[in-house]
Amino acid sequence: MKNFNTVEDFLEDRSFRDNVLRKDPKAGALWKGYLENFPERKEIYRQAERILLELNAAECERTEKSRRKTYDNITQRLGLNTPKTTLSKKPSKPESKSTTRRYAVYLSIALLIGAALFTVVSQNPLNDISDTQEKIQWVVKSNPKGQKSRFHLPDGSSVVVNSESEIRYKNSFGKTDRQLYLVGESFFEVASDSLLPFEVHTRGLVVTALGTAFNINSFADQPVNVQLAGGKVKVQKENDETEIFYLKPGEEIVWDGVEEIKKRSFDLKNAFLWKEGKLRFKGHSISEFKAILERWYGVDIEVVGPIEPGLKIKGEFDNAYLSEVLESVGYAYGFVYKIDQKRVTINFKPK
Amino acid sequence: MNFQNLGEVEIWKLIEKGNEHAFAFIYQEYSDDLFKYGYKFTQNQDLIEDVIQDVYVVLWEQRTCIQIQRSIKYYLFSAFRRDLIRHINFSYQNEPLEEYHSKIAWEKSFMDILEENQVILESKTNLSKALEILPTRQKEAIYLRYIHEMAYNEISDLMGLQMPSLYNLIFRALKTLKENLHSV
Repeated sequence: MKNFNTVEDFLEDRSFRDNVLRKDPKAGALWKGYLENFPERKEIYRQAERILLELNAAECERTEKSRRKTYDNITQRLGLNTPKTTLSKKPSKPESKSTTRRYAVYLSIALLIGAALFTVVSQNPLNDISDTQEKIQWVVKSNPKGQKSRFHLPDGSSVVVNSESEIRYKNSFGKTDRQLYLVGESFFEVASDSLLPFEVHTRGLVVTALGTAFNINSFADQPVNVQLAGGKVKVQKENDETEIFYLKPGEEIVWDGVEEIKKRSFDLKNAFLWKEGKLRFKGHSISEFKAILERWYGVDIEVVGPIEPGLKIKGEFDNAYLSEVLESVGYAYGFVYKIDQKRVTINFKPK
Repeated sequence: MNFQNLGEVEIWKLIEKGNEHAFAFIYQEYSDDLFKYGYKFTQNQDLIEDVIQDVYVVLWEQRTCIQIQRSIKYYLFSAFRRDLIRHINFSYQNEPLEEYHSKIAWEKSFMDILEENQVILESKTNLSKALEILPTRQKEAIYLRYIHEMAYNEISDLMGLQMPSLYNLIFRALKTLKENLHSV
């Protein structure tokens, strides 16, 4: 903890204000401990506390009646028709958590319609392109097969884009919004910005983050997969507020686009290997193996010969050449291979 | 989803698109703060309510033209402050706003207003007494900084002050208050 030698030091400290003004339990515990450790600072602490409380003391409480009357005057002058239920007294800060939360629920109902409309309007990038007004421009970063790259986004976030993947965003990104659209797979490290939520739209899902690191795998041939490395993200379907998932580090959601979204945990240590150039097969079928290699190395693969039913391929490769992977896997699972430029043939030997 | 969790930008976008619930939300979120802030300038509650009303009416009517530079709260505070001062002190009414901040000798004019309005300063403790007779600009500065937790650069813009002057105001305000603490 930093030094608190003067009244100003205390007043300038956010957790001090959280404790005194809002009776925040976490800050309260922190300051209780502090005063036990530094009893000689108690005098200054009390002074700062008194100043803050005095400063905050309402010389005059605004009445519910005048709050309402002013609001009625406003809506009347503007010809608005807002239901009165949305307007109620702001809960005083030290109120219990549960009350505050219940209060928040009322508000959420009111917002649903507006929010849904908003998402529809901004959801489809193609629409926005077609009615290109003068200013909106799309920035597209994409990789062909066999290539991975790291990009820095205008807001200070960075993204590693996998092969055969694409991100796109408007030139307003980082200024008025932080929305981007993903095809394929990317790993995001999001710069913190409490005003602009970082939103990734992909195949009917919206992933919202505030300062965090997460991976989205949204290749068309498999379920969408969002994995969180650090921080916190919110995942929901586009235009659907009924189901919201919050992920903790080490948790992932998987969605096939049809059935229920599933949430479960994953092994953080062995995740996101792709961005370090590590290729890992954890019991993939031969067709999955083929698709992964095609994407990774930018080749076309043809598989011939009799394949043992239920074959599951396992193995791990660190920045390996395609020939090394095929050599090793071929030896273990019984195939030979031929590489001819971008064309690869895998030939299973008859038993 | 609820408004509490929404970012400012999202809320403002909803308002721009004419979402009345979002508008109601920022009324109930900030109008009490404006009231308390206004009470630091004048004890005339009807006047404060009138100015709050005007500020929100203008915000809604002009919502498509208003550029929110820092935050909605900052916009409201600065519009409210400007209107309230204009109402309190009619003699400045016809001056262009840009010149307004630099010209006005606030501390002096505020004491005049207090006298005009026959505000009685009753105090219970030395501290609250000290707080009440603190020059308004000093009081306003520490209030914005410590109660509304605004950044120094926001306060300096809001009050039309250079940063060094602002630091000085806050320093002097706290000095006065601390001296009065000791004399209890």
